Amino acid sequence: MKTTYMATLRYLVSIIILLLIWKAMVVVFSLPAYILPPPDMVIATLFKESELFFRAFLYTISNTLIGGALGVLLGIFLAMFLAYSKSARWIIEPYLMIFQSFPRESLFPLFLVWLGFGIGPKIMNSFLLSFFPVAVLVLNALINVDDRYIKLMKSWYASKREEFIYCRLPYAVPQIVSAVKVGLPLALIGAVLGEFLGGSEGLGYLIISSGAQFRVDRIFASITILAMIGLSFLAIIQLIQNIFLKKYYF
Amino acid sequence: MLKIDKLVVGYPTKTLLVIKNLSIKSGEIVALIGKSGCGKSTLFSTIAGHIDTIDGGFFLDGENDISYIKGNVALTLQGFPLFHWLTVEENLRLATKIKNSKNIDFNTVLKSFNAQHIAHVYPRQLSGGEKCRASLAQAILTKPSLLMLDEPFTGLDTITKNSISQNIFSFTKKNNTSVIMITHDIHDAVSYAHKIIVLGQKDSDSLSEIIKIFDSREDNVYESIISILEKEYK
Repeated sequence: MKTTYMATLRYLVSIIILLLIWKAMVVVFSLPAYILPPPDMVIATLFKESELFFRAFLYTISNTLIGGALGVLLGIFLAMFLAYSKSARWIIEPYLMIFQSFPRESLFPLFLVWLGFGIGPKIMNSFLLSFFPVAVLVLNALINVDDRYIKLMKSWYASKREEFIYCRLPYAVPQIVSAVKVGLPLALIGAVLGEFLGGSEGLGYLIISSGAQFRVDRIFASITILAMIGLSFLAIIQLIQNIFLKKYYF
Repeated sequence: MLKIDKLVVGYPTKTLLVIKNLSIKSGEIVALIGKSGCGKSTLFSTIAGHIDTIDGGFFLDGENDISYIKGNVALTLQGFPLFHWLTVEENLRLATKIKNSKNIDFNTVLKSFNAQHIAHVYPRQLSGGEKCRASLAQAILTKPSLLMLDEPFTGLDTITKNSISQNIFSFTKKNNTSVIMITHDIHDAVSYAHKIIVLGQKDSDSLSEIIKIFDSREDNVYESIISILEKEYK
């Protein structure tokens, strides 16, 4: 618990320092609001236009959660399947590596053509950005189990299924949680990129449209919300790690 | 009782180990000694059923059926691995679950290794000696007729080693369990084993085989083993 409080305090102090530097820069260099609005103005905008931001937040978070949940869950399931079946791994693993090795964002125009301008391409982008890293990380975790544990299972003449359920899977749990920690922020990036490139709603769209109107305060307010979403994802996963995994693994 | 008859292990293209004839009586303790790569672990894994033989085989209590062997051979591994996400007792329960053994009194087994106090402790909180006790308790749960120990006393201080060895060998004596123990320590081999098997290669690139079998009560056994090993290391 003490560690959690310290971590929270550390983040709060960092944010306060950042806001102070930000404010000082605006005052010292007399920067106009259309270049760099002061933090208090950004906070005021957040409250003043809360309805607009809330609608954008809901749109982005729902796309992120749908795409991210699909990406993370299917990534974990695919990795489990590939770790279990060597022949399936032999066939499918190259595809994982191919899709992992190029910027998947470049596929977005295709999704626009295939799925239109609605939520489809955003969810797809969010899914693809989170799916492959999660699948690769979880697959590695399930394959690279400490050799002594595999020998221990063999010494009990465990079946392949038993080895998977009682050894590989529990061994990989901390890495699976870490993979989720990587996957969910990527899902958020995927959703926002989707809104940048072909949307009319969401925080990504709000950033692009505000830029065109020189509403830099709105851009910063949107970025603040996105940062809070990303941090919340990390905090929730960290909490899961602290509550459930600490006892068993650390 | 373990009887090995013309056992050949290796790949189709290369033979690694040949044991022409070897028998280990019930309750007998046998130490396997030899330089690294001499085939100790290969023989160990073959008897455990993890490596297929090219030719010949072995009989445990007169049986060579793999399911009988699986049910009656137990082994501990170097470093005494225990699943770190399970407590000692959960580790023991998992072993019995996988080995399909029923009616095990975990407390009695842990007590026989003075390990009842660590039943609910996670392995990362254990000392080397406690890990060794937990691993041994896990191995003897099913009262095997052959217990195989891979470097069981490595890294233990003398007091802990004596205490643990007493626990093991009083169990094996009581249950008439045969023991095969891999060790690099000739003192341990002479102190604990009835028979000492020196494995090695008769010439530099030949296959591994038994160089000599010693009775640990023989005179000058320590010196004799040393002189063979010195030739092996040259």
